[in-house]
Amino acid sequence: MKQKSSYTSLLFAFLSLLLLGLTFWVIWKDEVQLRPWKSYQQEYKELKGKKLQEEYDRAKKEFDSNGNAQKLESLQAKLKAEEDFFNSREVQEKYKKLTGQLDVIGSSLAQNQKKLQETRGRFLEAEYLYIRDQKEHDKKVMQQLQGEIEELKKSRDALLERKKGIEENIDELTGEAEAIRAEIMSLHKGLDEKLAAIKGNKRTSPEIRQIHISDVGKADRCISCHAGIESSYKLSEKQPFTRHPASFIFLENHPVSEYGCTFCHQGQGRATTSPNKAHGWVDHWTEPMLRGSMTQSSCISCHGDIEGLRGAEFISKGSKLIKKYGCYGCHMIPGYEELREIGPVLAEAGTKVNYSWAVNWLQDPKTYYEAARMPKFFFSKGEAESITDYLFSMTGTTRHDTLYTDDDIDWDLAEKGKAIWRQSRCNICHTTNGKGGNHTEIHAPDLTKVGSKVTKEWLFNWIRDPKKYFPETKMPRYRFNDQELAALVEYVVSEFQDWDFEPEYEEAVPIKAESIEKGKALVEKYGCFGCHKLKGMEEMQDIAPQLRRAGTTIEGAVSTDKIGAELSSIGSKPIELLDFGKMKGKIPHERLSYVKQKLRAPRSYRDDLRMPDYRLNEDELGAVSSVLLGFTDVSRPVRYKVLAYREIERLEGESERHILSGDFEKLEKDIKCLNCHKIGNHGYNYAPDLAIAGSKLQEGWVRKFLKQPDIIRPMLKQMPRFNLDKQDGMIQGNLADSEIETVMSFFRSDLVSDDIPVSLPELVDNGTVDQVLEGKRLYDKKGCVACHQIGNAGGSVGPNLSFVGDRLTAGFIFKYLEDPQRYNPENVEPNLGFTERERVYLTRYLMSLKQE
Amino acid sequence: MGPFIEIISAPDNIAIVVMILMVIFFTVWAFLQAFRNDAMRRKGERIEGEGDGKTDSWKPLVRIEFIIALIVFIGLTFWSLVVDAPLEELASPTLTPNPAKAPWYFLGLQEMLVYFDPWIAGVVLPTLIIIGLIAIPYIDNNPKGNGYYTFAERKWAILIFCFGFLALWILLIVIGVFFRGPGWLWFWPWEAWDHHRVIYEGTTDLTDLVGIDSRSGLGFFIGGGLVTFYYALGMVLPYLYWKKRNPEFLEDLGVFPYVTISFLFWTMLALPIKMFLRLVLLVKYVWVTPWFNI
Repeated sequence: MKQKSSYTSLLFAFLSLLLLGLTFWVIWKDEVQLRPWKSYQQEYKELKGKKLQEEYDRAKKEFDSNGNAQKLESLQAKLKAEEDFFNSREVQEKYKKLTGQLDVIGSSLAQNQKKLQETRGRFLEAEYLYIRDQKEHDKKVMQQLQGEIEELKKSRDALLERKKGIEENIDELTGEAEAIRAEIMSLHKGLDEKLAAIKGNKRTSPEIRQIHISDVGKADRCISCHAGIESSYKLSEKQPFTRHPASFIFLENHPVSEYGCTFCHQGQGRATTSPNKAHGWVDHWTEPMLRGSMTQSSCISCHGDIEGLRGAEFISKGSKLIKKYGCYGCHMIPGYEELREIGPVLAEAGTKVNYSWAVNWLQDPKTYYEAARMPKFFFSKGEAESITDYLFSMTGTTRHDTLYTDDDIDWDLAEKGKAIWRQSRCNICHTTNGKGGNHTEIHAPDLTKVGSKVTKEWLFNWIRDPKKYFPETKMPRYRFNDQELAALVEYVVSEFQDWDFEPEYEEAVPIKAESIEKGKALVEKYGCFGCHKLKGMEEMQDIAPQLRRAGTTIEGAVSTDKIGAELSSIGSKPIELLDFGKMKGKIPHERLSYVKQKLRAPRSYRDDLRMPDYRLNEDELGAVSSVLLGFTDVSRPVRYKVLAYREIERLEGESERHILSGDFEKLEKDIKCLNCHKIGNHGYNYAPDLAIAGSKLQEGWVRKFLKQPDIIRPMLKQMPRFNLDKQDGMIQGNLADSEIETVMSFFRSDLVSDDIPVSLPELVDNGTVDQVLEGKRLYDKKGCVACHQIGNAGGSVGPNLSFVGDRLTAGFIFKYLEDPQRYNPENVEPNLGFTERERVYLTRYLMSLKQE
Repeated sequence: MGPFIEIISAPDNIAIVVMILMVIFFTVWAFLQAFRNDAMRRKGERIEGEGDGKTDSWKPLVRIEFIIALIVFIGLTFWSLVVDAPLEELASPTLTPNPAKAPWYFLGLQEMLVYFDPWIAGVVLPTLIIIGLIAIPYIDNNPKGNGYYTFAERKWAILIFCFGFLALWILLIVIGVFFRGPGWLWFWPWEAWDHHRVIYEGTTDLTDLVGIDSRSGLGFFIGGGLVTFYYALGMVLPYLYWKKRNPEFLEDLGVFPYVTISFLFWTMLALPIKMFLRLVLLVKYVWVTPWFNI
């Protein structure tokens, strides 16, 4: 029995030790392992301490080298003399006596104060009783107390008077010592502050730091590790001690104290036990941290307009791509609902294009034009023929091609057409042989091989009145006469031919009825009407049941009246609802990879999907994905919202009032001014913004320009000419006189700014200063010449100012110089902080620069 | 075997794996002890613990209990230090987990739901289990086996207990944890849990098999008759058997305990019988009533 007992004792001892060890493990795990921010903060503190010490040392050195030491020494010597005088026995005796008196007065004052308080209290009580009961007795008490208060106040004033006298005496004794001390302090102040900072840094101890933003339900503890994220100086390149990049955009406008971190970056802001957990890189955390440009996704939850938003270039690019490829044709995407279908109307395709071209185009648009916007649908030749049969059957009964050979071309006419082509600046929007297309946001068709695509008749009718064929087209109507049209068409058809084009149906072949039916079914299935207007299918998108019949919606999407999945909250869609299908296990099981793969190879998840291939490159994939992932069902409180321009317009009741009005609107619809110019938030940035053109430009200059657009810009930046029939096809003018009047009156009425003064302020001077010369002196002195050109001298960053006096108004120049970023925040001109006087001089000088 | 290893090593299932190992260990150990003791008894040797009747709780018992408590405490602490609580995705009412499993210790009951309607499997049978456990001291007054292991002396009691505990409780838990996948469908260890798997198993009521509507009056009476017959036969036949072979035994036991034991025993056996009917003959219910189904 004895043996057994010692055996259990040993076991007991062993277990106890094990438990002790475990207890230490528990403490270590809880205090160290699960609190990594402690060591991070310690490390940051050391880095900061080092930095502060360096700064202090540098300041100290500077302080010493500036002769401050001698100054300090002399001050201290002076102070010593003063102190010696003060410490002499005689003075000390006096001082003690005086301070003794001061003490007596002090205690009297305190008594007085107490009595005063009591008396006031009793007075208030009496007053209350009197107001309530209206008894004479109370009134008497009140009066008596009032008297006492007055007495007390008097004696207090007397005491204060005596105190002041004694203090003055004391001041005499202490002499200048106080002043010298203050001087020494101020001399030391900078250094002392730095020392205090070092001490303060030493005193900090590790703690969880948290930003709580109650209205979005965020409690972010990120700064517990990222201690220097807001810091003004760089301490380390190492994480987590870096500063926030580009904080002048991001943190400046979204202070950490108001927004926290996960507001934009996602992640698990509350987690503090490990970096992976905090960044949300753990299983089942639905919002892992966003990094780099992907973070821009989050802008979408607050910012209505993302295009042109500073710091949001990536999503801006994505948004432009969504518009370019018209994703909203098939998908319901919030914010893009009101945009038009991107493709041309197909109603008269049969009279427009060659059958063989259409079949080829449908199979793979890339073979016709490398950068075609039309995606690849993976149609077989048979399918492509059926679709083409269906389209051709709307206007005819045969498959047919028209090929133009050299014999069909009138070369003289084509030569004339070439001049018109150039004067009309067709290349601004259209590309030919890789040239042109500078206006990248209009997406006009490439014309390199258009001669093998369309018929002369169609082209003639199209240019004559594009809106008749395609009411929502961006193509302006050039007011060519029939001869000019014929010449231009002849030129285009002769110049832009596809030499590899092999027409199969030069002899028309009748279309078979069953092929038409098959084509129609394909068109319905793949939703061609998402991008193209199709006769009989205009309402197709609104017939939801029919669409559901036509095909299944993608992976459990909410049924909408669009053919593709709804994307309005794709960024919050549970990962379980994304069908990875055949790609399961081949790509990471997360949302970003899913969306990217969908865009990269749209049919890779399942065989029966219908989305076509847009051939986006990796960067474009990322950009579009970043926008899509920004569409979440997160709703932010109103105070964070930056409404979209069109929402503001709607709120202000301006949606009805179009930005354009009257005759000008008609003119704009015709020649499409807003294809290039911008007014407010409408139009494009290709040509100058016209929002304040009425105040900015001189009327005479505008008239002249509209009549004959000057060559002051490179070829494809020049304004095209819209009226050519002045002199038998040789270009003379642009707009008719009446149209110029229309433009001018619109400029005067709508495009003016109240900001811009009509005339310059009058300067009060003695009249001896030649203001123009003074302006020129300033122009030279401030180095304007580095960017601007006048005559032959100067740089080319800014506009040429040679004849600026003909063009701009004085008021505009004057206002512009005050703040060059006022009318365009992206303007690169530095603000040189001119005084009003200087601005008047400069304006007068610039206004003197005229052509004659 | 990939999926099986994944399931068996999931942090969620550590407790069940530990339980299985412990049950196996203690069962084997107890039987080994019992066989050894039985052998000693046959040789006429004295068995340790037999006939003592009493022993000190301080120190022998308390010391062992304390050490065991220490071991359990150390084990649990170590476990919680090494394995984090296995969190799953955010709960979402639109996306419920599949399979939705009860805590592991209730998975036996959940498995029973496959064979009985919720009223029987969820209420009646658990209640009977509890009543049966409470009743043990009253119906089992056999003093043999107190304080020592034996098999030979308590053959029936031990076999019935092992069947009820190991086969009907532990085994059903193991099945529920490791063999029931999405949709509560049966998956073998080498099969991956496929969330889209569909199996059609049409079940019919017993009387429908012979063409009588189980919901009709006739069906009701036939079903009820079968169930009553099952219990009646189960009680009468052994009674007659013992009356002839061992009347003293019945007399000692008394009528009421006999009926109770018999009822509980046949109810317990009803489970495997119903499992057989359901799995092999695809029988849904034997007896359909407006209030419950058996």
